[in-house]
Amino acid sequence: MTATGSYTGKFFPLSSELFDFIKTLSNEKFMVDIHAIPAFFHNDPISSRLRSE
Amino acid sequence: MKQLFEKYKTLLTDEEGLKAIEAEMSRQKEDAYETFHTQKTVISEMAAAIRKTRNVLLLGMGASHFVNQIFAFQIRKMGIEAHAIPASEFLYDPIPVDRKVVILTSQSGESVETIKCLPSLTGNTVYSVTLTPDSTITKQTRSIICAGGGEKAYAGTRSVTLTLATFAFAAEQLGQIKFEKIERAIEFEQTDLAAMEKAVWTLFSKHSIIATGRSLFAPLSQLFALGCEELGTKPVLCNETGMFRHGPMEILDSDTALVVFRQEGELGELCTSFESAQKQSGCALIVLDSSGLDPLKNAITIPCPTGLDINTVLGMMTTFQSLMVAYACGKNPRTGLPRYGSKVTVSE
Repeated sequence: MTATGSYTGKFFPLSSELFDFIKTLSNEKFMVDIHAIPAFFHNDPISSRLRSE
Repeated sequence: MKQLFEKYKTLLTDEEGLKAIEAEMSRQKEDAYETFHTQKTVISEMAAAIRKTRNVLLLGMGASHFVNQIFAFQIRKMGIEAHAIPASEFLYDPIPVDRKVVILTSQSGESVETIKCLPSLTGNTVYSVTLTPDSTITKQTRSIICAGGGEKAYAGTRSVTLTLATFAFAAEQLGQIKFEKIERAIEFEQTDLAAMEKAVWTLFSKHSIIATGRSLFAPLSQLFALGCEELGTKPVLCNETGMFRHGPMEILDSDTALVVFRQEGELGELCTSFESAQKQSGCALIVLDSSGLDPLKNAITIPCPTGLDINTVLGMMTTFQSLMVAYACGKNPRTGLPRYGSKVTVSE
């Protein structure tokens, strides 16, 4: 499985392994300290899925 | 590594800086061989001078200083008295230079403090390593001119690799390394992209980053920290591991990423102490691992060529450069486009 998120109209591919790994980096809130990713995670389905999980 | 850049550059608002860095990195392998072929006479001459005097002072600034340190530690292994100090330190707090071979390192050949050291060195045999023909340093010293011309991209990538390769060639002339091993180091390409991406996302996610290493891997960790700061515009602490354990370790917590540069042998074994530090603090542990030993527990391990010398460091160049550039893409939407500085520092 490959999870693919959109960011500013571009695609940012995440392998399922990396996707699972990123989840382990989060605590109660899923927000990594990155200038663009908050928007990325706010706006696309991956973010919603990560938050719901 | 190209695919890593392709992916993370989507985080940028301006790709020009990254494109310039990519262009430099894509040439470094060929330029390293070209440097050897065109400069071997001068490299051999410099090695002979080092062998004769057994007393070397290396001066440079920024990344050049850290590469100088790597070479100084390398030749100390054969009993040569070698010191690398920042040109700015030598300029204002000089040490005696009698009977020393002096090596000035500056990719541009115009770094202000390094140039200002020249009048104090008139009685010495002075070599230099630079990328820029017709520079001040080239005109006033016996110069090794690395191939491909001056580096245009911000932050040292190709310049660092070529300077390091030049010193590896000198170590080969001094009988420390076989040429075939240098070739293997230049050819090494990181294939564990999964580990690289885990490291990148870990660096993205943590508030604080600390880089550390021992012996030749200490200045290597400094190069990583410097590059992350220049490109990522966020502070990265860097301590030689012994110094780090004498106090600064207290800052480790679950919001810290500790990046360890680990070599083969006794010093690689010592790194196992970071396992308990990680367990106690909850910090993330990223290891660029040249030890050939079992990976540290609970660490993201990026495998690198096994060894502990300057050649091993050369083999790690593209791996650590790619990691720092990908990290920067997540921290600075204008990676590679300086805000306050410039490529060549010509004022103090």
